Amino acid sequence: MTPPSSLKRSYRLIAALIGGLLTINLQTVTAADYEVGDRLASPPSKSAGKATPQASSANPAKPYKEVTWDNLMPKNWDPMAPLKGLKLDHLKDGDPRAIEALEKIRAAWNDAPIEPTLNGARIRIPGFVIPLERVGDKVSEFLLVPYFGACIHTPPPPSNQIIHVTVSKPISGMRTMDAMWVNGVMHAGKIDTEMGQAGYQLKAEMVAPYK
Amino acid sequence: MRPLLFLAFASAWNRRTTLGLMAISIGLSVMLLLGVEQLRTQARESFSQSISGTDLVVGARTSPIQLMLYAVFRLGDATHNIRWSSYQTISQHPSVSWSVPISLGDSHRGFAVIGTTTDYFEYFRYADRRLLAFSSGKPFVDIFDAVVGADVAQQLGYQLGDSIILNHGAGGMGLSDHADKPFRVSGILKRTGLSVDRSVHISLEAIEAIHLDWQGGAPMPGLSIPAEYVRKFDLAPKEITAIFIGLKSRAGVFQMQRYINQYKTEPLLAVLPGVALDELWSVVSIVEKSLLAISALVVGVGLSGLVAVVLAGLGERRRELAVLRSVGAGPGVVFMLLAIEGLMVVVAGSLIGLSGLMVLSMFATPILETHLGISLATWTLSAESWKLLLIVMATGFLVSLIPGYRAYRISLADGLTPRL
Repeated sequence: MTPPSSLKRSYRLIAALIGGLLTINLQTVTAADYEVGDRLASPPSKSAGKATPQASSANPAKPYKEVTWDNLMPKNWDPMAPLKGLKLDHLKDGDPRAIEALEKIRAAWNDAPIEPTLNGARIRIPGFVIPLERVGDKVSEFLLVPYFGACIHTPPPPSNQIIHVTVSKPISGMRTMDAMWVNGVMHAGKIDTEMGQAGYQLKAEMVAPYK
Repeated sequence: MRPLLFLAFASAWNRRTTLGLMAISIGLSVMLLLGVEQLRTQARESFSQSISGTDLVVGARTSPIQLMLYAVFRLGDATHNIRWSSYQTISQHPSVSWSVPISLGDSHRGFAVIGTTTDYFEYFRYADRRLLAFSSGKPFVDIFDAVVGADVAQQLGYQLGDSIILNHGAGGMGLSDHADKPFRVSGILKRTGLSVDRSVHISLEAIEAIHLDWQGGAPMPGLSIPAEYVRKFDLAPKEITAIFIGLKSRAGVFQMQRYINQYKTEPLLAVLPGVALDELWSVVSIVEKSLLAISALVVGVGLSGLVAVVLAGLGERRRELAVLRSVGAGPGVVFMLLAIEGLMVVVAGSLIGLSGLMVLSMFATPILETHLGISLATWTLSAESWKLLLIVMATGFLVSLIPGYRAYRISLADGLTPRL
């Protein structure tokens, strides 16, 4: 009895199946393709179109308004205000006045004002997540920041560039610095009198991977 | 279909030794695969349950993962301590809502001793913001009061009011203990399933007190201070190992982290527990994945063994198949018979693997709990494990189509008189 071609075929089949079994388990490490400082590009219309019907099906009356991180800074806020009156080009690097100005600007950014019109707005914004609270392996609370690597490798962004997001239904499989779309209702956070700090808080109704 | 099932079973029963062994080998491989998966998911869950509601964990400057391991999971040793003055400055920072200092390094018969303040019982939260609860007694009040975790109380049989002796360092040998200063159990905590269960909690002052006469690194003759005089000393803590911090505004966490990391008088490190955990997982995930890959390969070996056994069995079953053909079974029936046989072995193997895993985890759970602080839920399979099991069964069924196809071809070609 010569080994028929069916046997050879069957070995190929076994190899393919084992290969399949392996690839199912070995989902490659999803190292994000972002570098520190990368921002998410202005939203691709495809995914926007995909998500809007979902949002409108949940709440047909009020669709989410897409906002950018720049919208979170009030228009009349000038981050460079503390530098006014300083002739920067006349200062040397180690000049105490320059250092003082830098510290002043940091302090100003720490209690950056928020845009009042966004209080209560239904918005949709993309950003990178930093998980804060987990239920089992699922994330129930996270911070959303505008650029990759924000806050871990660099000085923190101004307080109006951080959104504290709470999710009613915890999300599984969320990792630090994953890019996500967040839809929900924005609230101006409680004002911390001592720090003069006000922040954005968002009750997320939908969180989806950014594509 | 029914008679076909019966026929397949009866035929398989005839060759039960070979097929039984095959089922056992598949069972073992399934056990390995599911075991790895269960351990992976439950370790993750157990770790992420360990801390909740804490914004920053602060310690001496080291790697964030290391800090999390020793401060939260009580694995490994601290690299350095923090000055008490640094703690006071940080805890009074305007954006700090609460802060709990802890001091590690001593042990009681293999259980970690944690020096802390009563704030620990008030603010430290685990698993979805649950607070620690007392099953009996209350937090420590006196210097020589101790609050023990559920496992400590159970394994050492402690009750309220019992007196216990703490060891220095890892201890446990009866050497270098703090025998002259016994503690009294003032409270027993409810079970949490976390490292807290295996900890003895005493006040920071008590940590100072038991180390008063240890200035030379060991108790020196003539330098012992009896317990009744201890209270006369200045027992204000001088050093602590780590701080848990809760902030007034969680969005301000980066500013606070920056403030602590750039603290001028002492090199300190503040980590966000969630971020550090993710870092830990990304380190561990390579090991996890290779373990999973190896166990998937073992399952592959088991399944190809199954194909080999059923294929080899075909030779001796030519007569059987010929008889079946002669009484009117079509080639399709022969094909189905073989496929059903393969599926039966795979299902039996999966069942063996599952029950084996249950038995094994019953034995392994206490060992894992004492050594790694991971608590395993014995009887629940994660969704991921069920998926794996289904994949194994489906793959098993698919590969058993191979001998089916072969039998189909043979029975077509051989007719009624196979040349044996």
